[in-house]
Formats: sequence, structure tokens, C-alpha cells
Amino acid sequence: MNKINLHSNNIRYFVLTVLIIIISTVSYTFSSLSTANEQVERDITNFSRGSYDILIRPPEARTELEKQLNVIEENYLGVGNGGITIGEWEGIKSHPQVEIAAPIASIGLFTAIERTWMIERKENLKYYEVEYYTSDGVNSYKYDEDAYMYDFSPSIRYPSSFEVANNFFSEDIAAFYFPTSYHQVVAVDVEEEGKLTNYDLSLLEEQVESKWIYSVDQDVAIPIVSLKGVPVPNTIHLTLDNLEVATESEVMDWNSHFINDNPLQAVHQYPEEYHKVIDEYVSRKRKHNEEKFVFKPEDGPSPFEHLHLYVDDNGKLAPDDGTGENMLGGSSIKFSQNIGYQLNPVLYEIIDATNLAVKQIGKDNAYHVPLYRDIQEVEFFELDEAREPINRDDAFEFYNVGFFSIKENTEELASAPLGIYGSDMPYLKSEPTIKLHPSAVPGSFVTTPAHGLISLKWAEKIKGNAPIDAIRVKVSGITGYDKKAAELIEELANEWKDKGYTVDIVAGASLHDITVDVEGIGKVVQPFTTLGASGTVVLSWNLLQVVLTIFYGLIAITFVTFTFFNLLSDRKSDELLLGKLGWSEKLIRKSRYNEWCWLLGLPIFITLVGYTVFGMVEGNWGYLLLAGSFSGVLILLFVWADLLVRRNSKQLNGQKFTITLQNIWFYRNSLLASCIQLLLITILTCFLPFFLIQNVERTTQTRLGSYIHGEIEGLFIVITVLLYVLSIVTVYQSLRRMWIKRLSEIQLFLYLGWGKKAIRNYFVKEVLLWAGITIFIGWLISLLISVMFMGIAGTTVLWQTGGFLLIFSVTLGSSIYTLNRVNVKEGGRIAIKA
Amino acid sequence: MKKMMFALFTLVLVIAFNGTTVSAAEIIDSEKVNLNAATTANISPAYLNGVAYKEYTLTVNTNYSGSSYFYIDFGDGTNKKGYGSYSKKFTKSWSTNSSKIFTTSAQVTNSTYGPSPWFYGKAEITYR
Repeated sequence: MNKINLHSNNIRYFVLTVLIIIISTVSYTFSSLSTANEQVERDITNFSRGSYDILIRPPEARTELEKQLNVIEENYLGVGNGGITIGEWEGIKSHPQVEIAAPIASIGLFTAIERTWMIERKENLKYYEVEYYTSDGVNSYKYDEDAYMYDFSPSIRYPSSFEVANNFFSEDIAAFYFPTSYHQVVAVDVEEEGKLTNYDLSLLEEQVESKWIYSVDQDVAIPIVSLKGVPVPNTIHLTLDNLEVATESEVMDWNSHFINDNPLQAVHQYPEEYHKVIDEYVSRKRKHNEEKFVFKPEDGPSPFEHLHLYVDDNGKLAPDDGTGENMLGGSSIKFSQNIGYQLNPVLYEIIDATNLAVKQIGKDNAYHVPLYRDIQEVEFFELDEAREPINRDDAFEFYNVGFFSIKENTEELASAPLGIYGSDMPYLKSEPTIKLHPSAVPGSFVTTPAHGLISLKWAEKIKGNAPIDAIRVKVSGITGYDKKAAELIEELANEWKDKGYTVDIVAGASLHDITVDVEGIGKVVQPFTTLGASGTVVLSWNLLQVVLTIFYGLIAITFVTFTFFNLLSDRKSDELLLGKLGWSEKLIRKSRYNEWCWLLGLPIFITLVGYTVFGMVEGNWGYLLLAGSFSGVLILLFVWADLLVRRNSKQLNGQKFTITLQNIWFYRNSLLASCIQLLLITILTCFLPFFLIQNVERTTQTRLGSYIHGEIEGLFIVITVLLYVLSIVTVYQSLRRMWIKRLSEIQLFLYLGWGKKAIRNYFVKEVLLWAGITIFIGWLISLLISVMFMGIAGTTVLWQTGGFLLIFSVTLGSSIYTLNRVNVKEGGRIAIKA
Repeated sequence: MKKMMFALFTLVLVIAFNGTTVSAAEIIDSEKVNLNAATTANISPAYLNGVAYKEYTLTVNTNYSGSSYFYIDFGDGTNKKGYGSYSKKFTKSWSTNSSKIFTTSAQVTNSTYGPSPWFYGKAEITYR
């Protein structure tokens, strides 16, 4: 007798399967959230500590952008006014908790050394034309003045300018000036920078060696290492043409148009008249069988190289390193880097947290390149007419002694703001493959990495007493970025803040792409550094974790309670029948618990055995622990549902309200689960997506966040799908069961001759009321918590109202569908009976 | 006795200078090495009287054949350099609106014998 089961086998298998799924997925979900939490913490510990922890700058160093958006340009070195002395830096370096204190002193932008590039002059009667172009990655800009030379013979030449004439050289060389380009020079401490970056910069501390083709004046020579792999943004276009022979009388005739019959004097003093004569007479000698050559930027060697350049046998520009042929040579200008330039920061117009705009402030006169920031010329030392330094103690010349590369730093998750090595160039938003870079003209909105590094020992000579613009500090004794490390870093930062410095905690920062609307170029995506990115990631993750856990817990428990309650209710009517057949209360109870031992005990047992095996194989007992705890909760829920079902339902005393309200009140217990699930599903639809989107957007703004989000994204999707499935099943089942329960009512109405439409309207009116109120409350709660957690926008309210209408329509549709199924099925039977 | 003393003296000399060969040619070679160490440079013409905006050719000479690197500074901040053997020609025109004296200087570095001392010249340029 004990083996009698009152539930059908189908129901039993269904309950067994559902409970196994629920117990295992709830345990799995909670455990996965816990694992994901560990993953987030581990990622932050591992990846959010950049190469240094604290950035110290002089007082008032923050730009408006930093103040408002808490972001820093990747390579922003400021105007380079300095503000920290060598003594102050040494004080910071000697702090017992400082492992590395690497200073940066921005020296300024310098033009490449003024020197010529050459091509072998093999014969007379040649026309040379040189055009210079520069590019910012999107547009190409041509230099205003072309350089040309009509070279009939060494004694008969017509240059485009006096300078071209002087550079052209001699019998066997045709030489032209290498186009001007600007390069950022930064001073660093060799030892500290080496510790920070693992670059061996020891060459900066050694004397510059003389080469056999030039001697170095040691009293003014500053060794510099150049950035490798960054193209000089110049392109040289060379056109060669043949000339017809010019007779003596023709030459005399041409020269007769010039002052003193002297073309050189004419080109220097009366260039317009000179060029008219060239165009009218001399240019006719061109045969127009042209050869064209293009020397591209990657051909250019270090801008600080003193060696002259020549076009080698492969048609590439190469430096003459002393092993060249006898024909090589060139011109240069002494101390051509006595003048440097300092760039003001770009004045960004802040549109919102992810959008900026930059206005063009002018155009360069030579290339007509758009300019976006002011540039100041700085004369570091004066020269006399022969270009000799007036005070030799102030003078310096950069000599390239080696190269450094920054390619390995490009994909760091954590960023080092105010760095000098960031090589992530902005790109066009509409065409991400097009990368932008500064042109040959200073004033671009793009900040570049340092093109040359010199030793800090020269900084005082060039910039004065307080040359340091920033110090990057790495705190000693910590290995990752965890809570303890964060506290220690903050403590140190506060110590230096109190001394008046501008101090930023860089640990926990990450790169962040911002769209910049650049006038004349369009929308550009530019990397910035967000300070405190790891804090944002942790906060977002914690919020998401809490919200998802609450939702999943509530929905799963409601679903299980609803299932228990329904099954026990179904059984109750059968038990009443058994009672009437003479079964004792004790026997009925025993039979019920026996059946439920299988119904509830078997899924618990299977899940626990499964997680025990998993724990033994993987060594992870978290799932078993959670499954055990959740099983306990299920047993309690069963006991509670059993107590609820055993309570006798009260009959209504008279009609106090409308029929619809009375019906809802009478079936309140059956509707409760449905109402709870509808409430949750409404919040799920009207709040959770916006909350998720906002948090994902906030997190994925930085590369650290994107990485961490990528790691846990799958879990979000699984949980959200589970939430919807459980909720929808509950609502559907709830409606279906209610109509089955009220079948006698439906039959009565059918007997009384009500039409299907009338019956449907009668019942749907009830659904409209209870479901409408529940969904409205859910919508209201969503609105309130949205205001609390995210702030609210008009579009969000609209979407949330859309969500409200969607859930309402789906519920109404489901109720009509389920009602229709019951109505049609039973209606048909009644019709047959009749 | 005199013969014995002479024989002894001769023997001492033979033992002392045994294996040593002395020749006039070697002495001359030694002097030659000392002379070769000094690479020389000069500018031709060393003193130039010229006019502005006219092209002049200045030749830098040295005392060695073989590969040398020639450097000339024109006294106005510009310079030219190039490889050559014995001499290298450089063209130059000065820009000035008054009479001016420019100090020219040159140095030659021979690939074998090293750099020469600086040679200084003058270019007196008038404007017309």
C-alpha cells in the first residue's frame, strides 16, 4: 500500500527532472558567480597594476580634461615647464617604500638635424625637381615651394632658390635639403628608466664616439637614443628630366634679364622676376621624358643622425656611415637644433564622457596642415653670424648613439598615463584601419611617443633648476593590485599630496577609447587613460553580482514553491478520496511523505552524488556545498507548502465586491506565484537590461574592463536565459492550472449557453486586473530602482513602458491561449454530452 | 799586446752587436713614418676676394692619396663634406648685402693616417 503513488508517472518524471535541473543550476550559478568574482579579483590583481603605481607632477599640473573626465592623454607630456627639482626627485627616490622613481623632463620638440640627401650626378643636362609631402594618415599635404635645378653643366645652373644652389654641391653630387620634421626629446634617468622599462640606456651615460668621417666636440655633444620604427612623416618625390643643350648666346640672353647678369643674385633678391624668366625661357629646354622616384618615410633614419643621406643602389635613402663610395657628400648647418618648440595641450571641448571635440586653430604656412594647438618657439642658446655659440657652456648638439623600440608595450591592459612610450595611434571611426599620426608640422592633436631620449643630467643645463615634469613611482614590496596594495599606494600618494604635488594613483588605471570629433578630419577614436578603472570594474561587477543573485534566487524559489504547492494541492483532492475510502490520516500522510521522499529526495540525491563525483575529480567542493544548502532550502519550502495546502480554504461570506474581485481574492493562493513571477519578470525586462547595458558600457570603456567582461560575459547570458525560462514556465503553468481548476465554472457557463467569447471576456477581465496591477507595480519598482542606481533618461522610461506593454500583452495572450485550450477541449466534450 | 787588445775589442763588438743589422735605407724609412703621421689640409685659394651671389670653387687639398674625408666650413654656419683623394672641390656662393670677411676652415681625415689639423683661410666678399 505504501507504494501507491497518487501522481502520474509523467508528472513524477517531470518533477524529478525539473528539480534536478533547478538544484544543479542554482548551485552551479551561485558557484559560478563566486568563481567569476575570484576571476575578476585575480584579473585586477594581475593586470591593473601598470609599470608604475603613482604619478607625481608639479602643483596645478592637471588639465581641464583630467579634472572633468578623470582621463589623461596617453603620451601627454605637458608644455614641459618642469617644476620638480633634481633634489626633490632624489628625496622621493630615497623613500624606503619606493622601488623605482623614474623622472621625465620634457625637453621639447626639435627639428631633425638640417642636412642634405643626395643622388649621384652622373651627367650634365639634367633637370631635378623635388617635391615634399607630409601626411597625418588621412590627408596628404604638399610643401608650398618645390625645389628644382636646371643643371646644364657645373657652370650653367638655374636653381629654384639660393639655398638650393648652395646645397647642390659639386661636379658629381646633386644634393637637396632633407625636409623639416619635428621630434619630441625627453630626458630620463638612465638607471631608473632602465628598471621601469627594462631598456638598456647605458649608452646615454657614455661619451659620443667620433667617427672617422666626423669628429665630435665633446663639450657640446649630448648622446641621444632614437625611437625605432616610428616613420618620419615626410615623403620625397624626385623627378628627373633631360635638358636640351643651351648655347652660349641663349645663356647670355637669359642672364641678361637678371641683376648683374647673375642668376644667383636674382633668385635671392628678385625671386618673382627670376622665376618668370625661368618659366618663359629656361623651362623650354626640358625634354619631358621624366623619371619619377618616391622616397617613403620608412626610408628615413634617426632624426638625430649627423650622417648625410644618399640614394643607394636600391633606390632607398640610406645614411652615409663612412663605408660609402668616394662620390658621397653633403651640406649641413651647424647647431641647427639650437631652437626647440613647446606644444601647448590640445583644448578639448567636452561633449560628454565618451565624446570630445577639437577645433582647428589655424593652418601651417608651408604645408597648409591644420593646426590644433599653440606652439611656442624656445631658443635654448644663441649663435653668432657664423653660427658659433655665443656662450659655449649653454650649447649642445644631439648625437644619435642607438635606438629603442616600444612595440612590445602596445597591448598593455593597464596604462601608464603621461607615459612616453605609448604607441597606440588614434584611428578613423568610420574606417578603423586608417591610423592617424602627427604630420611633419607640429600642432597636431595627436600626441606622440618620445622620439629621442637623453640622460637627465642634461636636463638642468637645458631647462634650468627644476626640469622634471613628472615622476613615475613604483611602490616596493607589492606584487599585484589587491586591497592591501591599494591601501599602501594610497597612503604613499597622500604623503606626497600633502607636500603640494599633483598626485595620481595610476595602479588600477586602464586605456579607454574616446571619440574625438576633429575639425577637418572627422570622428577619430583616440586612446586615453582612465584613472581608477579597476575600481569601476569591481563596483560594476559587485552590483551585477548582487542583482543577478537576488533575481535568480527569488525566481528559482518562487518556481519551486509554486511547483510544490500545485503538486500538493493536486494530491489533496486524491487524499480526500482515500480518506472517504477508509484510509487513516496517518497512512495517507505516510504515503504522501513516501512519495515525496522519491520526488524530492531522488533529485537531491542525484545532484549531491553528481557534485560529490565532480568534487573528487576536480577538487572543487563549492558546488556540493551549495547544492546541499539549496536542498535544505527546498525541504523547508516543501514543509511550508505542505502546511499551506493543509489549511482549509475559507469560504467567502456574502458578496462584498464585484464578481471579478471576489474571484481574484478566492484564487489568490493560486495566483500568488504567478503574480510574483510576473512582478519579477517585469523588473527583469524593465530594469535589468538597462542596468546590465549601463554597467557593461561603464566597464568596457577601458581595456581592462573589456577583458574582464569578456571573461564573464557567457555567465551573464546563461543566467539571464534561465531567469526568463523559469519565469515564463511559472506564469504559463499558473494560468493553465487556474483554468483547469475553474473548469466547473466554464462548464456551468457553457451549460447556461454562454458563448466562448463571453466566457473568454469574463475570465480575461480578471487577468487584466491582477496581471495589470502586478505588472504596473513591477514597472513602478523598475522605474524607482533605475532612478536610484542609474539616473533616468526619457528614452529609458520609453523603453521601460514598452517592456511593461510587452509583458502585459504576452500575459494576456498566454491567458487567452490557455483558456482557449481548456475551453475548446472541455467545451467539445460538453457539446458531445449534450 | 796591442793586437790582443784590438782582437778582444773586436770580439766584444761582435758579441754586442751580434744579429744587429744596420742600413741607411731603414733609417730613412723610420723618418718617413714620422712624416706620414701628419695629414695636412689646406684650402685653395686660402684668401679669396669675391663678390656676393657668385659661385666660387674652393679646393681642399691634402698630402695623401687613398680615401680621405674632406670638410670645409664657409664661415657662415654652412659646411660641406665629401670623400676624395688628394683634393676635393666645393662650390660656394655667399649671401651678404655688405662687404664681409668670412673665416673659412678645412679639415681632412685620412682613412689610414687620421685627421689633419684645422686649416684656416679667409673669404672677403663684397656686395655690388
